[in-house]
Amino acid sequence: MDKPLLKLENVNLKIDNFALSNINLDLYGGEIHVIMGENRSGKTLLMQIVSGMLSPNAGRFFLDGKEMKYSEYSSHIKNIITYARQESEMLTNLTIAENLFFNNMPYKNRILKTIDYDKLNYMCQELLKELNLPISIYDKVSSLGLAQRQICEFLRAYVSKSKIVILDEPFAALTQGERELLCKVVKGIREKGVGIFYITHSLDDVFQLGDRITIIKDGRIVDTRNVSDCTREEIIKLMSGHYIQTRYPKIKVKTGNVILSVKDLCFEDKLQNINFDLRQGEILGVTGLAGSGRTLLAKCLFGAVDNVQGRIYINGSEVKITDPHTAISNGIALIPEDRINYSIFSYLTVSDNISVSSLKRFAHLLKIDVPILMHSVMEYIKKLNITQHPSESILQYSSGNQQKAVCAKWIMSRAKIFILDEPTRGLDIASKIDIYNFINDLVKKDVGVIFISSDIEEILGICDRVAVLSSRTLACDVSTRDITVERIMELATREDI
Amino acid sequence: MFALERIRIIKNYLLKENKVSVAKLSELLNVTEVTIRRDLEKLEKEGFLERTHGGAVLKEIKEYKEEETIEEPGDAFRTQREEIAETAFHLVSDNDMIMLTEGLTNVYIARKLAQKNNLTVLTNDLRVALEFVNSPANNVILLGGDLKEYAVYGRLTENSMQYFSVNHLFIEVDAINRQSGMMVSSISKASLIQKAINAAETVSVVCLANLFGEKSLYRIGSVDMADKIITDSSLDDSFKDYLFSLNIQVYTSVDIYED
Repeated sequence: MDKPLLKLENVNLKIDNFALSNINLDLYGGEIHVIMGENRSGKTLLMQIVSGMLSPNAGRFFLDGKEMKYSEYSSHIKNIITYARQESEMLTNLTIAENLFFNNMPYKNRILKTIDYDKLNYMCQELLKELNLPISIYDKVSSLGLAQRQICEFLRAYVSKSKIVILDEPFAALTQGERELLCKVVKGIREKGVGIFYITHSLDDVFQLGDRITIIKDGRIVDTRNVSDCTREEIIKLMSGHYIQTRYPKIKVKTGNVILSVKDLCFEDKLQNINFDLRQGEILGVTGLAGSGRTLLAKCLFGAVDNVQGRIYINGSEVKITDPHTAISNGIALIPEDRINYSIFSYLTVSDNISVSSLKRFAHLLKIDVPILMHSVMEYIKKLNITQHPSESILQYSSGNQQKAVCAKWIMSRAKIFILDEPTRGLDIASKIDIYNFINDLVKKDVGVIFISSDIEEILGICDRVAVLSSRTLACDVSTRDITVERIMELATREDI
Repeated sequence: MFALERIRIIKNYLLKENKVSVAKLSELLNVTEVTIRRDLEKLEKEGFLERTHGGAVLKEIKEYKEEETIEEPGDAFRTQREEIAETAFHLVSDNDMIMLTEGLTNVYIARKLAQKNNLTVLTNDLRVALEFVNSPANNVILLGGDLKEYAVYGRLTENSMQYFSVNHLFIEVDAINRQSGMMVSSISKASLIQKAINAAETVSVVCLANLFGEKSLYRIGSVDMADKIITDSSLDDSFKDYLFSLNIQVYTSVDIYED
């Protein structure tokens, strides 16, 4: 453990409005180096630099103690690194055995490259036996569930001859058994003397597996420590850092009747016993780690997934929301996280995108009265400060203007319950402020708002109540005045009780 | 229903309520919103009403009201000031102790706040005080001093201010820009506001969006003396960015959702 396998010094990278600044990071053989940080703190960018995929603006690079230029570093590291990402990168039409040994197939004849299937299957069988895995090696990858694919992805790192392995956020929704298996695999990799970067959100993983931990926030490394030297509280504190909650425009509104009430909502094995009430004029914040089911909850309420269990009451009477159409006719609006695929009609103009949910109101004698419709739409465009080019396709607009148009669509349709899933993610600051002010206008007029965000600072700044999704259910539901960033982090990172 | 009859109903409704929304009329008369919008368009041409976002207001009432209160004739920023007042209304709780300094927008805020209960309002503007005449549920303290147009200033005013400490101070400024911060047009006003800021828990700055980036003669202080800035929806994006980076809450008072 005298010389680090890999060392980065003063690495800087600027992309759009995000920057990694003065990164110093190293990795020794036979250690698990945990990388922790919130979403968008720069973990993935950093790992892309480490794995030679993304050239930084500046920095010094060392492999086995030898300094080299990034181009040289990147061609070297490609042969000795395995990067297991969240999205599976396996060849779905090949068997598990073929996938695992893809880069080091046993050949019958090295020149003709004929594969020795007996040996391959034997090797794979032995490996699965060694780890006691209940998977058949002859199965095609396409037949596996997400969790099993994830395990195979990790096994690939296990059988590879890499000296460095990056494991990016082991799938958050693993069962206890799968999780234990994963730990076994990770420890097995470490025993081979391999250095591991392990990206996670789970504090339990840190203490179970980690040798060292590096905490990254807003593109800067907050600290690197030995795991044995720190407590849970210290890590939570380092992660929360300095928060500013005072810059969010927030008005005081007297809340009205319960407009939406959710009882015992369950979905598959991903969400369990979700209960909450939403009042008129209230903003309920929902937060949780990536993969905790925030977006899924939004989809359940909007009828965008099938077979949701539980009861939903709107204004006191029970409704069955089986599809988005029923949701909309009950006054529910959803602004999804994925704007391009689920939120806008890319080939329509901004005005068409805005009016699409309200066309019924502008019908007169079975046809739409276009001049009156346009007059109305232009008012929204003007009031929301959407840059004016009403005839162009919405795809040409900035993400801020697209998001404002999506807001205008639901505002125009006069929805009574707004579900906003990461409404400000990736927007410029001015558009963010506009969105906060629209939300203020909504609650002033008795609309109920569910505000889903991974930005805890934002949640505490604008919401009246906050609920934390963790271990498939709502871990708490309290007034934002009675909770701290630290407490939210703690709830979000807890495991099954 | 015939168009004539519909128009008569709309007229009667407006005369009674002063304002109405398209959604409300469409429900009331059981015709489509398009029909209502056409009727309103017609009535606007007649000069009976003025169309607003999602509805209409009675025109006669507007003019009549102008004469009744002391306002500058033909104020071009009436809508903006009303929107700002609406936001300010939602930043004040019953039982608060607040102060409003001199300014036309603050007069609008006062008119709106007269609906609150048990406020204590400190002011140096006569018009602000007058807005509370018919609102006995609130206490108004009018400062004394040298009268200049509608407000009092000078040593006497500033000395009597030191007896009070307020939860929430609303100052109306004449210009805000990056180099000089907040500015007003007279030295006595700047001096009074500086003293008031020192004695307030929360400072809200009221300023029309078109006055951002402008200049005025006397400097109050840097922008970060403000906790909140209340303006209208036409504020330039670059200022939103700048103010957010100074950790100031920016309220742009959009009024868009039709309830």
